[in-house]
Amino acid sequence: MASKDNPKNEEQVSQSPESRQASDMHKVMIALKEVFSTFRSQLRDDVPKPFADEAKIAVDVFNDIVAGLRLESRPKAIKIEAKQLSPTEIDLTWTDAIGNADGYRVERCEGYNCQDWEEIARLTSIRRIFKDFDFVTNTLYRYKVVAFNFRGEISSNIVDITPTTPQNEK
Amino acid sequence: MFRSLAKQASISTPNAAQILVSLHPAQLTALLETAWNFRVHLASNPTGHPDHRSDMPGLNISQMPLPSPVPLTSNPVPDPAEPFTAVLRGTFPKSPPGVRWDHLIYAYMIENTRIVEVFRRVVDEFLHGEKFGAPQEDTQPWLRNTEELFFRDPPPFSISTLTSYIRPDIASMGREAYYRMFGMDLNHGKDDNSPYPYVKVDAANKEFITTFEELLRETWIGFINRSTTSGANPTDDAKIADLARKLNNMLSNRRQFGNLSREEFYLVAKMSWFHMTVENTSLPIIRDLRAKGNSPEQVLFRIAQMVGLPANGLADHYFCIAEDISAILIAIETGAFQTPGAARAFYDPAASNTMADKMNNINNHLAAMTGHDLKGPKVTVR
Repeated sequence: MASKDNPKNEEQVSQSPESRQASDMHKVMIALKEVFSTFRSQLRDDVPKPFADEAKIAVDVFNDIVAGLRLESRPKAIKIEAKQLSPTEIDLTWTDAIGNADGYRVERCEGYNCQDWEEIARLTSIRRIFKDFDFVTNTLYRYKVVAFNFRGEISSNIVDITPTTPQNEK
Repeated sequence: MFRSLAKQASISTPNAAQILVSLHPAQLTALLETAWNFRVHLASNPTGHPDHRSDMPGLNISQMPLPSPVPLTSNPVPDPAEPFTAVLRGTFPKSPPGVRWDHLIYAYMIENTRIVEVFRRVVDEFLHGEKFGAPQEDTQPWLRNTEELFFRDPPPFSISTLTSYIRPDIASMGREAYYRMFGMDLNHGKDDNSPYPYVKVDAANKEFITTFEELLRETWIGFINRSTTSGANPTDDAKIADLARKLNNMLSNRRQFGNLSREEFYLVAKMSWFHMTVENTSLPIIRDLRAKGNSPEQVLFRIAQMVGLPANGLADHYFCIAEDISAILIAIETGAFQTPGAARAFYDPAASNTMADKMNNINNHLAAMTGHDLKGPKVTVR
């Protein structure tokens, strides 16, 4: 809305040469912002090229050497336990007496005697518990935890659990 | 060796370094023999290769016979060396391969800090006087072990017996090994700074350092251009592979048929003992010397000041790269890095590749030590 001191209305203001220039500038800025945004997203999506062939062999050789110099041994098998704490939570716990794993991979499959293991979490070496909230009740799940380090990996025992809904909640 | 043993054992045993330095010298000697016997031994590789360092056997013992401190009929005392023998046992199976002790360059880097001479004076002071006060009971084993393992002739037939009528001086033996392998002497001479006498043989890798610096320069170019997707990319994978091949040739030439392997093993074990000592400030010897510091070089500087022998001013750089340069040279010796396809491993720090970080670390510290700009273009003098 135009004031008394400035008799031109908003439309007239936007059509003045200075304003048109400012408007063009604004359009340029928006266009540039889009371009940079595209670059940024491309950079974000630019996943490092995986090592293959000779480079892969070289990296593996080097990792073995480093593990050898550290006198690392293969991780020892761990024993896991699974417990349903609530209708929405299953806890996996384990102890690792040797504790030389670089990390743990939690794997799960669905159904009786299933073998199509799917990695559902990768944990650091200090973790000894995993809480699973993503499951369907009254379905049999099998869990195992794979301890790994540079020297290799070893799977734990497999535990079966069928999460249920308590009767009083029905 | 000792340092890695303590580090690895510390995962399951608290104060592993303290336990290790307090073992009986016979147990430490047995650990050395065991480590030598447990070395990777793949007959498919030529002798001298990292997976086949030597065919020479060590003493076939799992532990030196020691008198039992209590009658065997009563409850047996737990073996204090067990955490360390367990670590060595754990390195089986031998696949995947990989040498179990550091490269000779590790010993060269650590010895350049002047750590051996400084601790020689420490032992000297404790044995000859009470300038530092009387060493407490828990310091005594460190003193005894250091003297027995590194400042006297080792027991005969053991893998560390490297002195004889032919080469009576262990220090000149080390310098000769460094010269043969890297074409370089240590940066210090005798305590009065006069040159240390040793045999300088013709068969020495005098081109080692220039070739290695060239490799660092090329890998830096690769590192800064690893993501370059448009325009010219000056990374020269073929040159990197060629430099790795040259280094492999010169190092494996010196190691033919397992040459210098025992010298390397002994020197690496010796330096790792002293490196472990300055790294673990909870050790009784550091407490008795009142030399606690935030880093190994600060501990060394304090002790050096006390004994009146300056340590190398660049000690920090030597400590920082010793381990990394050792792993890189062992990797080059495997021969897996001398094709252009493998060159990327030197400079691309993509997932699971720690080699590029180590190369950058060496580049930074070596440039500070030598004053050579390894990140700039090569200067040609006409």
